[in-house]
Formats: sequence, C-alpha cells, structure tokens
Amino acid sequence: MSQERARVVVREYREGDEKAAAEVLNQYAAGFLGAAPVTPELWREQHEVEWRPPTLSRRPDCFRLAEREGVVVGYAVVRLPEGNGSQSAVVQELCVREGEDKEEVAGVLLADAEEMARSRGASAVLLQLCHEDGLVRRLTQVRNYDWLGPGTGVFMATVSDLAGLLDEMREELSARLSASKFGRWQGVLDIRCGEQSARLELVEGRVRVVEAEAAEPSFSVDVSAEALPLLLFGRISVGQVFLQDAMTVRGGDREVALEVLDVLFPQLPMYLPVSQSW
Amino acid sequence: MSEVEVKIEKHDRWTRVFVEEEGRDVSHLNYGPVAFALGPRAPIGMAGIGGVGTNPQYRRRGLARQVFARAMQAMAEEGYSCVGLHTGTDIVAHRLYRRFGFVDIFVHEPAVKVLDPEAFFARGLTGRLSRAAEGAPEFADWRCDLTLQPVEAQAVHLRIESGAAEATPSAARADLTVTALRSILIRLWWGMLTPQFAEAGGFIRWEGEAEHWRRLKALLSLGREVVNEGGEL
Repeated sequence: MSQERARVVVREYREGDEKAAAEVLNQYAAGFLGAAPVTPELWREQHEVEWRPPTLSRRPDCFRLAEREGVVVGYAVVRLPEGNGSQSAVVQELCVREGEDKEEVAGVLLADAEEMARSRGASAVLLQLCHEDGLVRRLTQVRNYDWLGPGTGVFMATVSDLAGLLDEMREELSARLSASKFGRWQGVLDIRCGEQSARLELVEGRVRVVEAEAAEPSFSVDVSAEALPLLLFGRISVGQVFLQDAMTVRGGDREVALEVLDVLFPQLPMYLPVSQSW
Repeated sequence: MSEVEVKIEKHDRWTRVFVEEEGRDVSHLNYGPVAFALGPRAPIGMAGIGGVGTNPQYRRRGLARQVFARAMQAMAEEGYSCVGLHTGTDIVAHRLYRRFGFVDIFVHEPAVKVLDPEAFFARGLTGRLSRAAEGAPEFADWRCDLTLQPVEAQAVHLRIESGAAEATPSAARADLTVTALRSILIRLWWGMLTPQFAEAGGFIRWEGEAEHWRRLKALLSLGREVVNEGGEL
C-alpha cells in the first residue's frame, strides 16, 4: 500500500528563510535567461527595497513559503492593495523547486495568494510572472486566469562591448558546446557587428575569447545591430536571424557554421523577476 | 539644439547624470550595476538605467539626448558589457532608446483573474468617471444601465449615475449591453486596448442606444490619452 504524501502547507516568511528561498529561486531561474543567481544575503537585500514593495521587514506576511514535511519547496511574493487606489493583488514572484510535485506546489501557492487577495478586498489578482514558463501557463489555464497579451512594459538592452560580453559568457558557452554534438569540434569564429568584433576559439568543448590575429577564422559572421542583442539574449534563433537577412556567414561550411551558432546562442525563455528589476 | 554641460555625480551604488539650469536639475538619469544573467553560468556586467526624466518646461531641447549620450559614454568607459532598462513601448522615450541602439528584448505579458467581477468593473468605471469629471463634464450627468456580458462568464450589471458606477442585481432592460471575451473587457478596462480597435476588429459587440456606446467608448479611451501624454522627455 502506498503511503500518502504529506500536504503542502503555506506559511509566512520567518527570519532565516532566505537560504531556502534563494535556493528555490536559483533552481527555478536556472531554466531561463535573465534572472541572476543569488546568495541568501542578496535575496534578502532584493526583497528589502522600499520603492519596490512589499519588503520583508514591513510585510513578512506577503512572502509565502510552501513547505512539505518541513522543507521549503516554493515561495510566492504577493503585493496586496493597501488603500493606494489599487484594487488588485499582484503576484510578483512564484518559484518552485524542481520535482514531480512542482505543479501541485505552484497551485497551492497561487490558491493561497488568491485567498489572501480576497480577504483584503481585492477584486482581481494580477500575475507578473514569466509568461514563457510552461508551468505558469498550465497553472493559469487550470485556475481560470486570462492572459492579456503583450503589455506596454518592455525590457530593452544594447551590447556595448561584444568581446567583453562573450568573455563573461564563456563558461555558459562552453557548457552549451560540450553538451552538443560539437563538443569535440575545433575552430575559430569571428563575430562582427558594426565597429564591434570578437573572436571565439572553440577547442575540446571549451570556448574562450581570443585576440584576433592574422590567421583566417574557420568562419566569420556579420550580425546587424538590431539582431545582435536579440541573438545573445536568446530572443531569436540563429535561423530566424539568417532568414531575415540580418546575418551573413563567410568562410567554411555555412551549414556547420549555422549549427555551431545555434548551439552557442539558442533561443531560450526569459524570466525577469520583479525583485531584480530597477 | 545647443550643447549643454552634462554633469556626473557618483553615489554609493548609482551614478547620476544630469543637466542643471539656474541651479536646478532639469534633465537626468541614473545608472549602476544590476543583476542579470545569460544562463546559470553567465552572470554578466550589465548597467541598468533608471530614473530618466526631463522637467516638462525643458523638454524638446535635446537635453535628454545629451544626458543619455554622456551616460552611454561613461558606462562604456567603466567597462560594462551591456546596458539595460525597463520602459514602456507607448512613451516617447522608447524612440530615444532605440536611437541609442537599444532593442526590445522582453515585452511583459500579464495574466489576471477577476475575483469579484461586479466590484472590478464598477470600480474601474468609477475611477475613470472621477478622472473624467475634471475635464469632461458630459459624464457628470450620464445615467446608464450597462450590462457587460463576457462570453465565457456571467453577465455583470452596472448602473452609472452621478459620476459613479455600482453593481445592480440585474437590469430588466439595459440601456447598453456590451459583449466580448472576458480578456477583451479587462484589457479595455485597464486601457490596454482602445474601444475603437476592439470594435473595428470585431472583438466586441454592443446593443442599445448609440449615445451610451459613444460615451462609454470616450470614457474607456481616457486612460490611454493619459498614458500617451505622459512622455518622460
């Protein structure tokens, strides 16, 4: 006879929870671009910003931790209407640990948020979560939410130092390369965008930025200024960039070049937690 | 447009870039390091820009452009590999950012659950009516029994009277009945969609007196005018 699992219970934040919360965020956010990994100290700091309520010290009740058998398995941050004219509660974060039960945990946290909202007289619950997260999409479907389509809020970026950015990404690029069929591929790749350029050396699954020398690269790509941030930030696939004529490839086998680029710069979902906005 | 002196002031975490006129800060922005990652092993050195603004009396003189140009130069000198900012696609600043090479990376998409439809729609209309009272007196004496019929949910009956809206149990004969998907009604109420667009695109149907529909459209358009006038620069 199978043993019944303990229920997921939700409680408010207590001093010392930041370690577990940071672990949950880091695990959840690892599947997305955007969110930066945090230490417990940083997690706490990011949730103590006065102009970005609620804060831990003023409203610990708005920080909802889900536990199963005493282990934190997820958390939510809920901003409640506080007589400021707003009639909506806002779920600003909802993160769960990886595991078979993550949909259940997320569902319990969202139900708890709705209950809190109702009890404070809110007429609606607004989710500021990741619309590119399949878990969130399924959850909202089950719990009768309406997606309102793209809003007007937008995150914009520009690349000011291509070589520097690629250097910061080298470990990530190496991990992507070594996990692909190009793990043992060797070559040199030049990326150019207007006046910026960078040379990547790929050897035995390692990627590093090197000085451009006289030797010819295995292939070189020219990317338009519009497409470069979209490509590096995982917003558009290499195939799309190429087909939109925003990239030209020179030298070597073009098919291989496009495949290698696709491995290094895949299109990935993005998550920008409210707690890391500015 | 004349060139002005753009000043830079270092603070604890943020750097303020600004222009002064007669001793007053009239155009400014802040920048500083922010948390961002392009993968679990790729925390990156991003500078985040915030607090962009120009005093209304000093707009259209190119001050924001000069502040922005100076800030971009300073961030490059400090070695940031990329720069990010959060803004709105419906404000004039968006165009300026694009001119400096910024690209729309991520457009936020909200989801909503209406817990109490009567309160939600009534409060939304009352808020607009009170804002409209200042500049558009035609709404002050507007009386209308309005039925909202979301396609997938129960109807909501509202009475608009004396510059406010409140829920009524049912309307035997509504002056105006508006039918649409619930998400369309919510977007209209939150100013994410204009009634003109919703009508032209066939997202919305109405029955009743044309004058009531005209007033409701005017009321629901108010929020968007406020947004469009709210340029930062």
